[in-house]
Amino acid sequence: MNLSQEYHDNLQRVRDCTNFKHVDRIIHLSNFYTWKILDSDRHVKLSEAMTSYETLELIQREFQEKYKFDVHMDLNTRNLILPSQAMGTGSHIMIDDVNESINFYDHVLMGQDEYPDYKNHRAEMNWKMFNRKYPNLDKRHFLDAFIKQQEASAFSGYMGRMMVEDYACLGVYDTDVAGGSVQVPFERFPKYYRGIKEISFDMRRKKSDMLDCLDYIQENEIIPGLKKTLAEMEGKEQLYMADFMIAMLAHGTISQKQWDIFYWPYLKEYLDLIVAAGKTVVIYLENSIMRFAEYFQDYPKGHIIMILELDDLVELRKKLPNICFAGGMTAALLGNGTPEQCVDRVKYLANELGDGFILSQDKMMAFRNDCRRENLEAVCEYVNNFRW
Amino acid sequence: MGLFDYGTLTQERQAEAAKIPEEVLAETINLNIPEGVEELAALLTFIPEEKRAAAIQGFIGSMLVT
Repeated sequence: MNLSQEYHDNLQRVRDCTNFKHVDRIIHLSNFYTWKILDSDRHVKLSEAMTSYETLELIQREFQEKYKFDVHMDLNTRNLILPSQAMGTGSHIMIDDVNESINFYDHVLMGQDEYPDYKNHRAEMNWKMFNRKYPNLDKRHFLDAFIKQQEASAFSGYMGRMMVEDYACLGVYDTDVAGGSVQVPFERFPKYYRGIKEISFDMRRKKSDMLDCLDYIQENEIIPGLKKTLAEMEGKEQLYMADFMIAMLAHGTISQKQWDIFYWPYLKEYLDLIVAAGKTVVIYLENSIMRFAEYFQDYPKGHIIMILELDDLVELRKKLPNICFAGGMTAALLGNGTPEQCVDRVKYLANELGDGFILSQDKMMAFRNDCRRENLEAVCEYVNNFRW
Repeated sequence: MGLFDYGTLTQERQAEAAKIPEEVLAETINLNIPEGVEELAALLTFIPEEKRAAAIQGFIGSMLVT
């Protein structure tokens, strides 16, 4: 990739911010997703945009040229739907252009008794789940979807490079590195295979099978992968917002006791390894982390960025003075407030949090009413012109 | 300003796929493993043979989390 001086300056700014060094201005991270399509002056429907890579790229460029963010969580590459649509078996993705929403059928792909199979016969289990998700699939549709998946993958890579080279926007982490994104073993089961409702039963009724499976995944797949990635990073310059990304979603639906058994021990192992290696990690947090804040208190400054959703950043800062925060700009204000209120919110956050703060939005901005354009314009104009 | 352009490569792969007999493409996937996976790998004539099995596993993994 061709990295400009502006990119290197942006990179140094984020690095300094992560280390709680004072930086010259407010760093702005975009947590905008399909709202970008709805805001676009191209006035295309969701279904039109999401089935056209050209349109998605033009909208992403338009969004950046209009608002000038420093980092983007999404480059219009999330949930690229053409491969799924090509599978042709009653696609599980539903785009509602009237309500401007995208929904998915909730599948339970794995049975409660199949944790041992998932652990011991992964290829066979993946095959079973694949055919449960896409029943009666014929070879024509498979081949079409495969070719489209390759195109989707190429589009994702291209968009990452494009934003870096054309706009000096930092990538969140290196998406070309296989081990760059990590999730605790627990996360995949409520999200992809068992669903939230079923997993709540599993933690009580299938605890032994679950833990045996989670431990296996951790010891044989994730930790070796993480160590391999760390070894490959040795001596290489960091060129992204962070070296690793961890997405945390399921913690919001489990109890303290369940967190201590099914979640934290696995997560702690990643954080310990990453911090010991002198590397950085961005944790993308849905819901709230406040009730588990103490678990992160002992990590030194300079290694962890948390992208926060429901938490009050000023209150959380009292518990976590060691973690760089991204967030704070509420969809409630962006969608329902005035430009002045939104700018006042930015001033409040910047003054209260000071160093170790990146401005972002408090949810994945997806729906039209999540944000009014004039509010975002006001925030961005203020942020882009503000200097300490 | 150039935009994302993958059209040529996609068309080449689709042209390669179009050489597969119609009756084969109309077949429902064999649910047995490894036969079902092997049959799918055999369809990927635009990928070097030694990479096909891994490509199938990668595709299955991707589609499970889409």
